[in-house]
Amino acid sequence: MSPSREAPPLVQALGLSRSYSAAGWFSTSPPVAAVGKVDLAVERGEMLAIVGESGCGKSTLGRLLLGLEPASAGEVRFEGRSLQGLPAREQRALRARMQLVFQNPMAALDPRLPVGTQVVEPLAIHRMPEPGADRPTIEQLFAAVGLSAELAGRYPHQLSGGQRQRVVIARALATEPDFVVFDEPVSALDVSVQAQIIALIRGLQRERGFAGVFISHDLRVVRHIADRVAVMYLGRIVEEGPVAAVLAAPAHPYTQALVASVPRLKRAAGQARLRLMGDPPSASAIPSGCAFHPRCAAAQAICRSERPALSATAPGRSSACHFSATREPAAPSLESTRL
Amino acid sequence: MAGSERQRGVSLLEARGLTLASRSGEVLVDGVDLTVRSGEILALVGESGSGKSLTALALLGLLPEDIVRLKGEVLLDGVAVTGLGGRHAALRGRCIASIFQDPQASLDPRWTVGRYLGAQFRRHGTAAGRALAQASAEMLARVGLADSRRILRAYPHELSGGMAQRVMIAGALAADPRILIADEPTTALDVTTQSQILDLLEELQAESGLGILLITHDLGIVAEMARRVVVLYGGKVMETGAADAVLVAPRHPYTRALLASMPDIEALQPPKPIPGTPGDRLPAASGCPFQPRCGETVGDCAIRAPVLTSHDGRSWACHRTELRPTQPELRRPHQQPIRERALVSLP
Repeated sequence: MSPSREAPPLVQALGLSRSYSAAGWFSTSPPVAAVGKVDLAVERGEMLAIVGESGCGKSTLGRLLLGLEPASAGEVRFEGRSLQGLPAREQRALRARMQLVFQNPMAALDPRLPVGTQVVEPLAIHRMPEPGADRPTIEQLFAAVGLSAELAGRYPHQLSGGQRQRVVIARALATEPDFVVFDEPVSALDVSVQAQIIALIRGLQRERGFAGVFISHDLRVVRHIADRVAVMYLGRIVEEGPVAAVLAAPAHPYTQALVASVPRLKRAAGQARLRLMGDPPSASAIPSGCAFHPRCAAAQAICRSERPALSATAPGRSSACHFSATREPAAPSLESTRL
Repeated sequence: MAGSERQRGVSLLEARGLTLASRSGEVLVDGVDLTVRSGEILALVGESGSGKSLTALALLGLLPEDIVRLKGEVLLDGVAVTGLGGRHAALRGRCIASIFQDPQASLDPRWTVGRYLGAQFRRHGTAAGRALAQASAEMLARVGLADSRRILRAYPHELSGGMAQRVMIAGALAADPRILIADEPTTALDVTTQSQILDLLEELQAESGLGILLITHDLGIVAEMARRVVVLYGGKVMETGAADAVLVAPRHPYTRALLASMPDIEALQPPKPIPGTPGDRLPAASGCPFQPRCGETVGDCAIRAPVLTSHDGRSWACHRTELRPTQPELRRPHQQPIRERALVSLP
């Protein structure tokens, strides 16, 4: 899966930022920095998970990567070419190669159209495929996501939640995209069905080789769907690396707290549920220095004044903490709690 | 109210053979037995359509108009309170408090936290007049909201999800209840906030002997919080017993399948889906509700409903183990039976 050295990553973010200025003439609220100076790369065929708490900017980052939202600073490159400043025609052509799957399939589907019609809609929109090439049929698209073709005539409300999410995935894959952003696609599903959709996404990715970004708040799901993970806190990536390594031995104190908060069936003796006090501060009042310092048990004076850069801690891993290099990557059993 | 009833293990709230149906006659909850004891957390687990929230509403005496109780009773302190109408409501208000999944939606957006808490105290007669502000501030401190002056003046939209759930818990405790029904109290919260709220519930239960019925779909939460667990599918109890025993060595195929479908942060194997959807179930009269999704069926499963078999303080309803109750299967949750393992498609 690793590309040759010269080939650029499929999707690349360089210093990508997005801030929203407060609406209205009389508003006194400061601008909200939703995403700040994010650098990341998604290679062909790989699944990168973006995790973090609500409001951390992970969904905004997903939309930025797809070019659905303009960047305030920085850029997104697709196959090495910047999305900004692409002629409209080329942008439209790129759209077919990049797709988005949302959390709530009921909102993503048109309630008045049979689901079969909706699955092939992107082909018409993008005038695909080229004349002479084979157009995938509703039956083929349904079969690919494990749906019986008999359901094609049904309306969204006549399907179960899992079936609806399969329809949305089939629609996203109709144009055979190279890059798919999945925004919390299994959060609203029952656990037995969630496992079906995880297996489906994994299987389709293996079969078709698309690259993906999987946005989620659930580390348990991420563990089984992603190759790499990027952890976000208040708009910035604070840790990145292979998913198994990061979750087994998180380097950043925030990742450590997230991992320790996950309810587990078996908790080894002494592995207390770590309590991270308080809520994440608002993105309109990001703390100075390391944004995590007010909630960090290991914070020192430097953390209040200087923002740590995301830097390598091990091959393929990086962390944005002043002390990541000097600290042993802690297993999630750490005792340091701030009460 | 430090009395004998606050000792651990006294039965506070009980459902006996609770059977609920829609007006059209579809049985939604079928013969459910459960007991909430003082000083103990009982987890009620199931997927959508399992009947877990309806069961909670019946315990609270808050069944919607279109649901009828066909059979069974709800007992509060051993006294049947079903069918008591207004009197049930009054009793319930004093003894049973509840919190729900979406705290922001449960709070009136036009009321400050102070007004809401004041109303709760007044309604239950637990504080009045000048004592109200003091009682409200103390209650906020008890649920971990130290900055009570600011929070009492705040409106719901000014609270984070975690703060709003703490305010709901404070309001629930204002009645000095003995039972708390918590229906998916952390499902809408972030994982770090969830952790805080679960800790708070544990502390409250430990310090006041509160009996808690915790309704959840997350077996990880059950493992961390509950002493006992009731597993529901299609309105019926599949399995019940001590939480550590049930989760380590489940005896019902549904409990096993549900455990295997849970993604584990440490496991190498991906979660194993259960085919079909939670809506697939056999109707109450024609067999085991889980039969359409079960990978371990025998002939009887689609003919008659299995009865609960009890052994070692545990109960389960399955034809397979009904046949040989002396050999309960002692598997670890993530180990699949060999027959099933062969069917797992490899990447």
